[in-house]
Parts: sequence; C-alpha cells; structure tokens
Amino acid sequence: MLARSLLLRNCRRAVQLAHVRASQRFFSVEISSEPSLGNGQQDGRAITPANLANAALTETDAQSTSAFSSTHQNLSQRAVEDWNAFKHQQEATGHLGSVVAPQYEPAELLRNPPSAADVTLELLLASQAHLGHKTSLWNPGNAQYIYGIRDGIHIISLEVTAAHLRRAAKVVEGVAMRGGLILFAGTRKGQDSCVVRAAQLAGGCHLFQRWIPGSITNGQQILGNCTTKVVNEKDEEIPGFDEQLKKRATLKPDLVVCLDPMQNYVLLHECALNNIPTIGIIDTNADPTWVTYPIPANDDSLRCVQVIAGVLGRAGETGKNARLAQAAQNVITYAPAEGLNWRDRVTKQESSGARAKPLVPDVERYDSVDV
Amino acid sequence: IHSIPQLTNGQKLKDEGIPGLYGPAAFDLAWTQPMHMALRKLNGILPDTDKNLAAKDLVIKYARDPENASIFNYASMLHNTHFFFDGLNSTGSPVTPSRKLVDEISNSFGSYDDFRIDFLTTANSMFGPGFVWLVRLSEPNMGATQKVFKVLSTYCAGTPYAGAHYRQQPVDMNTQAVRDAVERKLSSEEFRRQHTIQNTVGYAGKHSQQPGRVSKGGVEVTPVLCVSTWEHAYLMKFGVDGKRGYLKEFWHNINWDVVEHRCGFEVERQLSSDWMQRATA
Repeated sequence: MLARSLLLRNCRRAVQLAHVRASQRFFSVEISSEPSLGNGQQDGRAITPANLANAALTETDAQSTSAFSSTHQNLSQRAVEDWNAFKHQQEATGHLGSVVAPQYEPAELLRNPPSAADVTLELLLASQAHLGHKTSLWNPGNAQYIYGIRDGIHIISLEVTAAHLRRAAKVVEGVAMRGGLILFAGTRKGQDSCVVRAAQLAGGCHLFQRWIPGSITNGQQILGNCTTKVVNEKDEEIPGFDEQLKKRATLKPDLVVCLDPMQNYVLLHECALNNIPTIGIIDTNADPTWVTYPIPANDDSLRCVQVIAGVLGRAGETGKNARLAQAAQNVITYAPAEGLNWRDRVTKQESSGARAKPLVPDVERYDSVDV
Repeated sequence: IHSIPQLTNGQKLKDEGIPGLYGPAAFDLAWTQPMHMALRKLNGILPDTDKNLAAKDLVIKYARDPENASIFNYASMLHNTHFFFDGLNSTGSPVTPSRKLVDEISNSFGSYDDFRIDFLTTANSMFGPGFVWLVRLSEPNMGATQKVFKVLSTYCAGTPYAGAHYRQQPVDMNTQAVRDAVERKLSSEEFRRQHTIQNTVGYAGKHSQQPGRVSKGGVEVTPVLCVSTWEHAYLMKFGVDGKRGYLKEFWHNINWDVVEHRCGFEVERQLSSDWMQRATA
C-alpha cells in the first residue's frame, strides 16, 4: 500500500495501475539519452562557464539561457525572478473562484481617498451625505439645498452636494496651484485622521484640536513663537533668513477648510475679518453664510466627512503637483513673498563665527577657578 | 458577497456545452450546480471581516484553521472548479500547444506523450474525488535552479498552493494508518514516518540543495492545468464507470493557450534576456 502510493507521487518513476487487468501496460517514463542542459538527470558533466558559454552560443532556446543565467545568479536576481513569477501567477489565477462584490472599507478612505472625478451620487448616498437634521431644527437659509422631507428629517439634495463639492475642490486645487497655505480644520471626534491625511496630500496645515481664538486676529501673540521657514519654488528650504523672519508678521492661511462649522464659529469669523476664503460642510441646521463656499452635506457622519476631506485633499495634491511640475520647468505660478532680501541672508560660515559660543565649558576654565 | 464568475463563451457553454466532453445538462451538473451550491454555502458562513477576500485568499488564510474547515473547503472547490473550466477549450476549434510548451514538458517528463499518460493515469487511478494538477516549480539542479513541470494530485478540496500546504491533501487518507496510530498506539516515529517526506536529499529534505528555501512541507508551485476527478464532472455524460472516457475527451479539449499564459514563459524570457544583455554588454 505504502509503496504504491509513493510511486504514484513520483512522476518520473513507473506508475502501475491498481487494476487486475493483465492487458494494462507497464508505463515507463524514458529519459532521452542525448545530453542537454535542460535534462540534467544523468548528465555527469560538470557545468563550467566554458561549457555554458559554448552551449549559449550553439543552443538558442530560452531553456539553456535560463540555465546559464541560473548558475551565475546572485540572490537579488533570484528574488526579482521569484517576485515577477509570483506577480504573474497572481494575475493569471488569483481572481479564479468567484466574483467578489466590493465592500466598504473605512481605511480605504484614508489610504486612497477619492478625487473630485470619483464623486458620484451613489458614493455620496452610501456615505450618508443626504441625511439632514429634524425639520424643526433647520436653518431656512439653506432651503435651496434641501430635496425634501422623510421620516421627520430634511434630505439634502445630492446633486447640489456633488456640484458644491466639485466647486470647492476646484478652489482648493487653484489655491494649491498658486502656492497658497491651506488649513484643514476638523475638531470633532474621529476627524483627526482624515484632516491630517488631507493636509498631508495638499501640503498644507492641519488642526484637529481646539482652535485657539485669536490665532489669526492676534497672531503675533498666540503664534508668535512658531518657527517659520523660507522655501523656494521647489518647496526646498532656503536657510539664512532667520533674522529677517523675526521681523515678519505671523503667517495667515490663504484658504481654510472647516469640516465642522458648528463648533468652529470663531475660526470662521476670524477668517472673514481677514478676508480669508473658507470652505465648510453645511448641514441643514448650519448657517451657510458663515463660509464662502458651502458644501451642503451631513457633518455628523464620519464617513461623509472623510469622503469630503479626501476629495479636497486630493484636489490640493493635484494643484501642488501641478505647481511643482511647473517649477521644474522654471515657471513660478505665484508672486514671491515681499520684504525678503536675498542679499541680507546669513550663510553658515558667517553665522558660525558670530555664534562661536561653545555649549560645553572649557576644561581649563574650571581648573582655573578657585574652589 | 461572492457571486458566480463568468466563463469565456459562457452562454455557448450553457446552451451547447463542449462537444464530446459536456452536453448542456452535463455542463449544468458539472459547473452551474456545484458552483452555486458552494457560493451559497460560502456566503452563509463567511464572517464579515473576510467579505472582501477572493476565493484563493480565503484558501490560504484558512488552510491552517481546522475550525473553519468549511470555509476552506468551499473556497477551494470554487477556485479549483473555476481553474479547471478556465483551462477548457470552449472556442470550438482545437487549440494545440506551442513548440516551446511541448519542449518544456518533454524536458520534464521524457516526452510529451509520456506526460499525457502520466497525467491521465494518475487521474484515473485516484479513488475518490479530487483534482490532478500540472504544476511548474523551481527545482535545484546541479547547484542552480531551473523550472520543471510535475504532476500533483489533491484529494477532495485539497489545494496545490504553497501557502496552504497544510491542506494539500496529497494522499488518500484511507491508505494511511491513522487508526493504527490511535488504537494500536503506533509510536510517534512510525506515525511521522508515514506522513513526512522520507527522502532527505529530495526537494524538501534536510540535505536538499536548498534547505532554507522551503517552509515546512510547502513547495512553491505554479499550477497551470488541472482536471477534476469529482464524479459530478463526468457523471451525466459518461456515467459512473466512464472516468477513462472522460479523461480522454478532456485531453482533446484543453485550451493550451491558457496553460501557456499561466506558465509565465514571457516573464522568464524577459528576465533571462535582460540578464544576457547585461552579461554580454
């Protein structure tokens, strides 16, 4: 029993059937006697570079060339081969078995946020963007955004949401294209990850904890100690402007994206006082006049907020990449900051002489001190 | 949620089947019914965390989980059955293997006809349901590695993939002395000897030429062709005793283009030609 199963497992050996019929052939697998590099079963000839070089010249099929390369492969070559073979196998057979309907994965909205072109009514509906608040709590100012009433709540028109979202994405893309500083603000629970991700994509700033009132109107007091830097058109830092930066006014954002206007009235008011355009998610109980570019949507659904933040972050990324692409062609898409003098830069050699104070006191000085 | 995959020329298969191998009723029994059953069962028992995974990923994930053997079994049946039908020629005109493929097979088996006999005889002599695979793998040879073909059989819902080698099910368990081990208290050494590879110089043994390459028991294979030896695959047209005739007809209806694509010759050729360019430059 055991012997037969071993034979069955080995493909090269004779396979004898379990039938009692005497007419069954005894199958043998013959091995060709002519020596070839592919068939190394009985070949006692050592594989030397000379042999292989000759073989490579005479035999043109890929079998011999792959054997030739195999003997001289190093580990990295084999790793590349294995990886490519694995990828090919996955592509050829990985999908076999069934067709899987795509399912919502929360992490996907952070890992790979949708762009403005991916915004569909189905996506907004699935993200619960249409769910407004109870009808008695509405703000009549956004009546034109409301589709109707169902189950005692207002339903936001998704076509309106999609249109406003695309407009806001265009604004973000334009500001990023012109090197503007974009602030993404979202202070509600769970919004921190999407806010950070959007800021990361757009190359802007994020805020997910309390906005300190006066950060714009009283910037020199509240944000006065923050470090600033000067960057060139390729977003590379240019050192040596520390002294000049000390005299400059505190930075203000050029665009503010607020994911929860109901909690951040102060931020939006400060922006309005300083002529900073704002984008905000306006629910049915929110005041649309608080922001410059409202996006009527459900601000209570984390999934909806993540979709909107993702779309705006992607738009910022597009604008940033377009700006950097133009910078690579030596085209600058914005007006440089005023008041910075290139000639007054303090380079490293000069600064090291001026601040040559050692951090650790000299040993001799201590010795000379009388204890 | 999993739904039934579409075969190439699916409507033609449903209406006419494959002349010689499957009639419409036989195709229904071999493909439609078992696939729908497996999908219904799988969708019923899959946990929410795995709803997005493909059948092959489920096979590898649950191969080492005996408590979720059902998920493994149904996912494996889905994958294997689709693999089998994907390799059949439903175009109507015969598809012949390319010169390159025939040469590669001959190098591994001695001759192309010997491979055919080997493959079909293995399938014919399997007692019980399962699949027989033609797999491609790297084998150490004189200190180098080269790709060879081998024939591999898996019983019931066994799978050839290395990641799921715990459930390869390469032997008919009726031939194993499991009861002896339990009742007559076979020594652990005896029991182990019956279930492990004895040849230490072979691919996976202690003294193999590439000891570090293979995980315990797993061999990295690329399956390229398979035949189903489950009864429902041939029962309607050939009857209970018709396995031999079914295998003969199967041989005439293989889609060798699909097999060659799965082998990945173009990937290997690309790499070796890159290497040759660099070596000679």
